[in-house]
Amino acid sequence: MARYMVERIFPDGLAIPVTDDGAATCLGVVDRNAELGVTWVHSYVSDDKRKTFCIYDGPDPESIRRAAERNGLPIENITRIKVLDPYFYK
Amino acid sequence: MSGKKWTHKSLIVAVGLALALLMPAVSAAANTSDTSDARAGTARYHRLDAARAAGYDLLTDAAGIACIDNPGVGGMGIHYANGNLVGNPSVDAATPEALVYEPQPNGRLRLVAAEYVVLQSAWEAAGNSGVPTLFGRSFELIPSPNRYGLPAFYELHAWIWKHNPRGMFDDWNPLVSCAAAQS
Repeated sequence: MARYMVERIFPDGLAIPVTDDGAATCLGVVDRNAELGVTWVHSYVSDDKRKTFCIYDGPDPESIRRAAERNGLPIENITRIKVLDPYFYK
Repeated sequence: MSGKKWTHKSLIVAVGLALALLMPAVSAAANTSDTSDARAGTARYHRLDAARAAGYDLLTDAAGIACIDNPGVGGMGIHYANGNLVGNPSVDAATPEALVYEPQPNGRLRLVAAEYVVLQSAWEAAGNSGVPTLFGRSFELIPSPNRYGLPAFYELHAWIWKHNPRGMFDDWNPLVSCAAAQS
């Protein structure tokens, strides 16, 4: 499984209400991703909510694109990445 | 001139040292393929009802406390354990024996970690020696008696859904709180 940074642009801003409906929207994304072997780890959202940087695990970029189509989400760029953090796991 | 050369060499040494320090970390990241399996296997359990349907039940300690924390060190949260998996000596990143949720101020539970559990008796009965390992980490033995009233067991937490400043595999996460727990 590879990890990807997926950049998305929302010209009108990303609007997910902090309500049950908003939570259901996010969980729906999780479910549809799973059908393609794609896992949404988390996202970073710009202050103006017009750009998101989403961390995904998945088999390949095509699966990421297909998952985005199913979820009605735009894709600006997909970059395969590796994690660099302060921890040494071994 | 010589000072300039020395600076140049120092720069090369510094860059080399920085790369040497960074490379193990990037290599260690290759280990995240296993944690990716863990995320893929547990993503559907962001929905607590899905976890319950899959056989994960609320676990309390012997005193009836559901939300486990260690004031001054960190919290774990509320465990939902799958009894069938706990009794099985196998270890699989995608199917943890327990799911750990943090109570939220709005009353919801947020999935934050997976916990892998193997009863020591089951592990040894299966002919295993040593301790179970996963993600390149050795499990910790929790002897009996313990606060859960369980026989001796091996366990390993993996904070795959919430950052833990103490490390991905530490038992306690200072960013997890039981303050919003009902009990």
